[in-house]
Amino acid sequence: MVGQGAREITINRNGSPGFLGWVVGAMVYVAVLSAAGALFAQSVSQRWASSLTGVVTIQVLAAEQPVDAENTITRLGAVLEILRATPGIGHLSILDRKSSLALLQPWLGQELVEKIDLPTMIDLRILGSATLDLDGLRQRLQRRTPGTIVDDHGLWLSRVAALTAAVERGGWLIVLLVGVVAAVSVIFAVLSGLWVNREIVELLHLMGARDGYVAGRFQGYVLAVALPASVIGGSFAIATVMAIAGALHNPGGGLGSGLKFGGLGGLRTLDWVILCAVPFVFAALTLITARVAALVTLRRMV
Amino acid sequence: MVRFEDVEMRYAVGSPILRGANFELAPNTFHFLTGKSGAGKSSLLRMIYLALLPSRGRVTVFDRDTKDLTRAEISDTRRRLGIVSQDFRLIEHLSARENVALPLRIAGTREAVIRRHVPELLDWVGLSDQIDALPQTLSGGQQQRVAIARAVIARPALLLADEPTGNVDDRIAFRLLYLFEELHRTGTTVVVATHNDALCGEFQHSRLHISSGRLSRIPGKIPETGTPCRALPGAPDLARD
Repeated sequence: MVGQGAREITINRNGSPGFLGWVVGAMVYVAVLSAAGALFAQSVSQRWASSLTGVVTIQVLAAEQPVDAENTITRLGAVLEILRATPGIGHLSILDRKSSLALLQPWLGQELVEKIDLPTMIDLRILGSATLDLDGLRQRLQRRTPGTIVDDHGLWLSRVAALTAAVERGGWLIVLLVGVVAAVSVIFAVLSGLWVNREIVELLHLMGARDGYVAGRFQGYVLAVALPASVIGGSFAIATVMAIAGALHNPGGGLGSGLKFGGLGGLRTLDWVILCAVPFVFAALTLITARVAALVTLRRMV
Repeated sequence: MVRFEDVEMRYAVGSPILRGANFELAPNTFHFLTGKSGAGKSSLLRMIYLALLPSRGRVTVFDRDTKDLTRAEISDTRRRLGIVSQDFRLIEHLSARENVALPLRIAGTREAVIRRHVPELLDWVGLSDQIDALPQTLSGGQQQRVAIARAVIARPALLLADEPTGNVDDRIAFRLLYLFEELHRTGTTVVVATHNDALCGEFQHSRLHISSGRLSRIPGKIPETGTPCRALPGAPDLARD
């Protein structure tokens, strides 16, 4: 029934989308941006977690010094000995002093870097599903080479996860709030529409229209306003997201260049599908709200 | 078709506007409803079209006590009624065509049927040239004819007209009454509320008269029932579809 025939109900007589159109358009814009933020946070945290899971870094201080009085073996050698005897370790790579210095030099400058007693870093890749006994490894290393640090990035990852989860929850919360605001706007539009059109509503009732028919007229009006407004608001928002994603993706430029954001700012295909669906979900929300608001109000009218 | 049994109607303040009303409207009859302004003619009609419940007594429409009807049943019952009011009550931003089409749309009639029947009926009321005109561009008599076309397009069994000639001059009033008569001859029961005695005198149908809250019946010179049905010229036969 929606949209069929002539429109008995008009809320703005001049046919402009008016207040409802602007509100819905703006709300959809905000909702799509917030949803993009939430999806981005989720995708980035997953990417970083997966690239760091299974990686353990060992820092060996004073790697060149011997472990015993006989000078037979350095601290690094001792650590490597223990690691080789530990099951569950796949790949092992040593980042020597020179490579470490090269990484730090742009930040600290040549002079300062040469004065620092840098630890030697060892990158371990843990084998597939094998569980490495990290605590046992820590104890063995501590006994042989005190001061050696075993870092499985768990703390850092858990903080990143907490942060991105908060961003994600915040984003969806905004989407929810914006949805509530849009729904409330529709309720007010329908209530004022019922008031402005009360004579027409009464006339339709006298001609035998059921409440569902009258509610359908309001839905037709709301859809005619909210659907284009949603699509326009959503299009602007997606253009904004693409511009931001493009800036993040731009190699060699900007803050994101060193971080792994993935294609189009880290959003996956499914994320884009969700973002494109948001305006239509909002249009559907306004449609359902209009019907419920009209039916509830009509039942209270005589 | 419509039965009033010991009906009393009173509003919150004042004496009852109708007391002990008893009457029955048989199918295919024509009645005037007369009385001074404020005598209760509109209230009586409102009880028939289910906008008002009696304070006491029983009103039966199409064999159903109006007190027992659910909201949906009220709507369904009203689809069998045609209502014409003094102020036409046309939707201003819709053309004559769309106004007349409303009852069919409400009844869920197919668009093709609507497209065919609406012009036929506007032609019957003599407005074939004003099909797409907006109500404010039409004269009072023309607007009332659009309203009549709208009231009868869904083929109501009962047509209720509340002062349909109140806003038009006598010449137009007579023409409108001829339309009602024509409709009556096709089998519709017609009730016309009016305080225009000249009309009642001319047409001489049975009269229901309200005075001081009492309803009396004045038989007309034209027999109430038994008129043979004949097809309305140019009028749609919705049963076909």
